[in-house]
Amino acid sequence: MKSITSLLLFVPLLSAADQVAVTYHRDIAPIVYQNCTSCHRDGESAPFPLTNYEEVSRKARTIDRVVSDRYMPPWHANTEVTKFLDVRRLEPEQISLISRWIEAGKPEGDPADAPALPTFTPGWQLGEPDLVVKMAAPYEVPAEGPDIYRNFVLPLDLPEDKWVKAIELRPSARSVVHHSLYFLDDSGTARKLDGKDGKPGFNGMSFRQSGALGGYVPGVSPRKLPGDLARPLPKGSDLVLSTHFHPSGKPELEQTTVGIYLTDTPPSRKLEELQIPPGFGRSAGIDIPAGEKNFTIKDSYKLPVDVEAFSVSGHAHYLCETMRMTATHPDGSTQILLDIPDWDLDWQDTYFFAEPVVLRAGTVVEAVISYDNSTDNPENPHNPPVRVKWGRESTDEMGSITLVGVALDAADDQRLNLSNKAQRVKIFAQLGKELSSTGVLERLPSIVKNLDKNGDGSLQESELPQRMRTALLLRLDEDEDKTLNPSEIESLKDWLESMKANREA
Amino acid sequence: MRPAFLLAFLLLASRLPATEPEKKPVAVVSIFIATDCPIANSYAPEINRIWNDYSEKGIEIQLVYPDPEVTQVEVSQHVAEYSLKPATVIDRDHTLVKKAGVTTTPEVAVSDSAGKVIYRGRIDNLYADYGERRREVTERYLRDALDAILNGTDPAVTKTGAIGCLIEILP
Repeated sequence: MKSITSLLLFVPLLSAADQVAVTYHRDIAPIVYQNCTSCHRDGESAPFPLTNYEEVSRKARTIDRVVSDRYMPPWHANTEVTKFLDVRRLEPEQISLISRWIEAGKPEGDPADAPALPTFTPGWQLGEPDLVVKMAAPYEVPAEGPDIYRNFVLPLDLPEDKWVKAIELRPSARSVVHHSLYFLDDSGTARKLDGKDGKPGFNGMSFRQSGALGGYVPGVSPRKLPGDLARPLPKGSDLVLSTHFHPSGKPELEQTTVGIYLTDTPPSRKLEELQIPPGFGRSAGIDIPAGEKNFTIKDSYKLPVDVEAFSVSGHAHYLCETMRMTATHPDGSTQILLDIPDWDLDWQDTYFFAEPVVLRAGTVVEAVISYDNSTDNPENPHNPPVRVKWGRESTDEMGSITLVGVALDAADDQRLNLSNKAQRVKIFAQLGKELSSTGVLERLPSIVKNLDKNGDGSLQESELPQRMRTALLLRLDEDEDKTLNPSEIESLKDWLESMKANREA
Repeated sequence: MRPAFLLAFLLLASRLPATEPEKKPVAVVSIFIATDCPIANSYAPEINRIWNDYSEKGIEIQLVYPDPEVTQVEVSQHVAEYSLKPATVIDRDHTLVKKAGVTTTPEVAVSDSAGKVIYRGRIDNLYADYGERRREVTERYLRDALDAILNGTDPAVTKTGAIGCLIEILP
């Protein structure tokens, strides 16, 4: 009876052809092959294959539920307001077809109606990589417990600078590797941390990242950067995989293999990662009271030159609920670059724009990120909720949206790069705010004295804390001699004081 | 039965070691699972702990595989892979599914000694929804129901909605 009623509801909407019963081969197979099978096949990350009638029919009600719920296929960006490549999102009509097929008793139909199963490339998706590296030893993921974030250092030992076009990751235990982010470390700090607790890798993000190379999320096909674009891979850098594991119910061993696609020639334009707010939200003063249902951070960046943007991605942890990046063009019109109405840490995709987005100089790019630190948020890592601040552990919070692109005119590369780097000053402004309340102004003379190793009263570049060098010099080194002389140090004091004044105002 | 046969049987029986009379379980827990449902599989350690904690207290615990196409070999492999301790049964014609009124794996049904279902639903609240897993469980519905039975009271919660892989309806 129920099936008749729901069929009747559809009748006025259907053309004559559609009123023929829904069959697997004609109606369902195209949806499944196009949207599910790339992961739901042997050797891939999904828990069961969906490659033929028997397999799909055996999971039909589960498929119906998770697609209606929009849990599958995993895709969190709003595609109504922004057009992306590789969209894994079903149309409402496709979802209702699946429901109708089940109501009709899952008829198989005529195999002649079915599209061919797509041919999937076995092994490396982009061909043989130029460099293949593997974790030295397997890491054991326990049967249960909270998600695990673990960093693994893969020494590359490159004797000369290279450029990265793409990275492909091949986990050995696909059911537990949820995603992995790629970082570079040229300082050797990650190497020192590796294995300190007796197990491969290390926890926390306390190593010095000297670069980032994107990441791996199941279901996203690896892509080479367009044109001659490539990311720098300086000689001597170690690759650091920051991997997120979901325990599966039994212990698993993970020993990841990474394929790197390289080029020797530097790109004609420099790829810029415009992270708003910078420092994964370090500058935004994330400090969320326990129980707060709607805590919002906001930051914006005015483009100094014309920019061509290729992709956008977000980063935050469990408390984050929504994120949105909006461009306000010089003429006042607005364009949404990323809208995630239900942020899920599990699916930190990089979204590639369907067409590169050109943003003219003077465009203001704004990021707004909201958090729910109440018990209404089941993913809240704290029960009862506690005050949560910015931090590197998954139980802390972060929040930023990164727009990746290039200066439209190669001549503007340097300007965009410097302006982007200068955004990091916001981090120090925030640190300044936080420090001013701890009496840093009063302690500044002794801090400077400690840093001034050679005791000449000035701070040479090498004496500045490594992570703050660029930003401090950009902000304070007026004579551009790579040294902060006493008067420039005095301006740091003024700067901190003005920050404090701003805060008080 | 012929007297001689009866006598032979009694003689034989008297030589067997004395066994305790079969004790009727206080309750039967049917845990409906599947070999390839990730949410069900993630419960393997907790299922074993529940078995450890309750099976010696007179509560019978069985794993029920409702997929009519699953083979005994696949079930044995699954049990070995996840070191599952309870006994297993394949419910090919959904007799147990219908009796328990379950729709999902993992989902549990607790029947009292009279065979009446007194709790049905999720094991605990580890999953709030698909993809929404709590860091820590805050409600342990199945354990609470079993503790209530062992204390001679009725479970406070008798029904919860399960989250996991839906059981197919037989044609």
